[in-house]
Amino acid sequence: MTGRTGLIFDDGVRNEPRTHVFIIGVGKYIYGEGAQSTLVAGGLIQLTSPPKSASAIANWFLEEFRNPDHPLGTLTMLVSDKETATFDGPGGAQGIPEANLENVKKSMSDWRALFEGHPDNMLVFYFCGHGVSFGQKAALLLSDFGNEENSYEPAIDLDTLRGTLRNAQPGKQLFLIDCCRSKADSFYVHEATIGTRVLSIPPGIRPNGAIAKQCVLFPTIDGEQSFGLADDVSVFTSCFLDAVRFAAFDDATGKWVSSTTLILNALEQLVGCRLSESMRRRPVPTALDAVSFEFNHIDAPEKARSIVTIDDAVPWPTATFTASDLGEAGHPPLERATSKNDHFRCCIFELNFGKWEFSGNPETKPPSIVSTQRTVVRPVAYVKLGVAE
Amino acid sequence: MIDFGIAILAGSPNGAVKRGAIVSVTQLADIDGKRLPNSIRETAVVDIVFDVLPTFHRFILPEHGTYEVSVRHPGGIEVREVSVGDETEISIQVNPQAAKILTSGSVSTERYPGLGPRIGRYSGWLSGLPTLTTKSFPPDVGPVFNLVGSTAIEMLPPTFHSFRATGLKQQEDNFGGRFGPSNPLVFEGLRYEQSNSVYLDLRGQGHGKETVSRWLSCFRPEGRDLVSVPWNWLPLLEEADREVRIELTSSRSPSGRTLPTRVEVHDSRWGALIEYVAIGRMADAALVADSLLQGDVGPVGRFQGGSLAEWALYGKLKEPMVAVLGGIILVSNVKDGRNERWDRWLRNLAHWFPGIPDAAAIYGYRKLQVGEIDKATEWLRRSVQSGLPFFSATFRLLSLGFSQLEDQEYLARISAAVAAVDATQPFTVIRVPWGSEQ
Repeated sequence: MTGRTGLIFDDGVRNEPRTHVFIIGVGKYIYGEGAQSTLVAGGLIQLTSPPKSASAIANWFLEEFRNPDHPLGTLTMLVSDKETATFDGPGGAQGIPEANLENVKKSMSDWRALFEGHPDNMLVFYFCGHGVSFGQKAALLLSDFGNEENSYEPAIDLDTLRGTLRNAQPGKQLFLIDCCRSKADSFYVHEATIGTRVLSIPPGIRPNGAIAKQCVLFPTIDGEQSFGLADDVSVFTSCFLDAVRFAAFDDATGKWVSSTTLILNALEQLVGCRLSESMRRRPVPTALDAVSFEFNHIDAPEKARSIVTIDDAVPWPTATFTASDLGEAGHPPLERATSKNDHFRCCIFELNFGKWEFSGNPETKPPSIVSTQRTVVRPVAYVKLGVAE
Repeated sequence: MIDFGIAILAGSPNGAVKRGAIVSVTQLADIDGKRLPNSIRETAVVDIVFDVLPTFHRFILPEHGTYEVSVRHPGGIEVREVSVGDETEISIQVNPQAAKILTSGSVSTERYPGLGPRIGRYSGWLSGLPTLTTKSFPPDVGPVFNLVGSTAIEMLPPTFHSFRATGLKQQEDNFGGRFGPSNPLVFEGLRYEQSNSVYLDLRGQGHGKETVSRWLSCFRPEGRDLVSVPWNWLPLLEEADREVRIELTSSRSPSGRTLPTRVEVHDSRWGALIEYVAIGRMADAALVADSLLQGDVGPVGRFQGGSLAEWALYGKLKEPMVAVLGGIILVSNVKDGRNERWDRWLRNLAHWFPGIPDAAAIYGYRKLQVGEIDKATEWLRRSVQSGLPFFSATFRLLSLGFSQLEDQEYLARISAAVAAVDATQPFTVIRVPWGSEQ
């Protein structure tokens, strides 16, 4: 049990640059849909994806994140789930504090003590749960949002958090805001203020000439279903994990390094492959002040993921997709069976580098799917197959 | 070396954007299909054209082989694989407007040059002065609008604290009408006296008789939209190589709900900057801006080698709104807090245009970046006192600035407007739901 701070990993190093991660996943809304629902929060449905998504992000940081300039220093996590959340971390199974306002404030204060030690630290803030987007503002709703005493306070005002963290020492700050664009937006159209300050850092303490580089990434996906399959990782988070595992890398400098800009571009591509155009088409920015900085490293890839989808003009079919090796190695063809009921409109092949032909054979024609050839030599290849009547 | 041409095509005339696409060409493999480490990449900013005969941008590539062409545009990203050697030119079609909710109609060809008491040229379906006492609308038409006057006390222009109660009453001399999904309201220009008057307002010297109201109030069943019309984006004098028009559009969601009024500024010169700022891709906006400088719209001589954002600031006297956009791009892309040569221009912009709240906000935000807390507080507050910004991005600068300063008084003061401004649009449109007028 970690106590209220939610600190589940700490390498103990404070005098060298580190990455400090803060994760919030809110699936259970105490005053949302259900027995204790209130007028303010009663319209918020309970979510199953955020606890899973928060755990997936935590596991990735603990097991796979590599950045020689900013290795993982600490990881803090707060989760609200149907039952008391636990996490099987480096120290064994640990209870995770609930993501309510009191705990978040306390953990943020503790987090500050961890990250303020070095100006070259990197911060990552991740939130998955209900969010409200109103105008240029956004509020991230915590588990006790809508209570009778201070209904609108248990939420994080994103601008306030960003503004506050600009006064912090760490010069690189990545915000991953995994909130679907749900009906919550329309519940609160008359409210000018939702959320509160969860952290305070007075201005003027940063070193002269130093500016905090902030990058805020969030999805532009419609509806609760965009959180993905029930009890599974959300679309945005799974796309982010794909991005930092293989899809957002470049070897222009000789090493395979991701950057926040490459992650943003990869997210756009990956979400575009998974979801139909009607779900992803929202007229909102996908990034705010997307300042670019290096994020993580991987070894030189030996295989590639080919993400195969078809033209948006037609529904995702029940079909068999095939990847055929056109090179000298002559690897046997790989097949993927798909269903029109698939949650995502893509299938993924893990392939050796080389020249491949991609084709699809739908159960029902027309339309037929037009095959294409691709040279697969980078960690990811996006393949969009055309259709013909 | 291999000369390879790439043309980026729009599917419709409205999709054409000068310097609208950022094209990267990356070598994937050599002519034998062998993978190459440290891939060579060429990047250029290219026009998106709508033309029978496309214009090909030339890339000079090191050798034949397999290349990936990535096209970043305001509507998303397109990726193609090409075999350079087998092909010498390719065309890629994009939809730069894919990120927007668009009207289903096209630009109206109807024109009524005699009907507008204050507007030189416009089009749209005008039905005379609207009756504003009703909130019921025929299903096939869009919002009723009227220009918000400023001569009566109850018609004072919207401010941070009063915007919800502004402009509900109708003045007899107000210009009003109705536009719908298939009949956008189009403004193509003002008379010289009107343009000059608008300009003097921005300089804080506005005593002209031909003042044109900045605000349009658009009435929908779901509420009102207060639209800040960026009149000063229209050039003072017509320019042979430039087309500009401001278009107000309306559309409906699949469920039949009337969506908020959109202000689209179509500018053959600066349009790409507006598009990239609107989607929050500030680094891309800076790249596009620098490319524009090197192209045929940049000045020659004095500013060669500078960035367009710098030029925009330098050109502030002629086009202050473009300068403001340049300022937003600049302060959003700084890498450290060192003084820049454009700091002086930001200061001048703020001093010379007290009628542009954005200019003071940008200057204050910049002061915060360089650690001058008192100056930052002074200018950010001055911005709020001088009115609502012209650009929606400026609301974010104010919100972040006051948050960073922990200035609770001014955070509270701007909160309602920041929450009501439409973040999906580059120019200020504020939504006021019915029932929130107090």
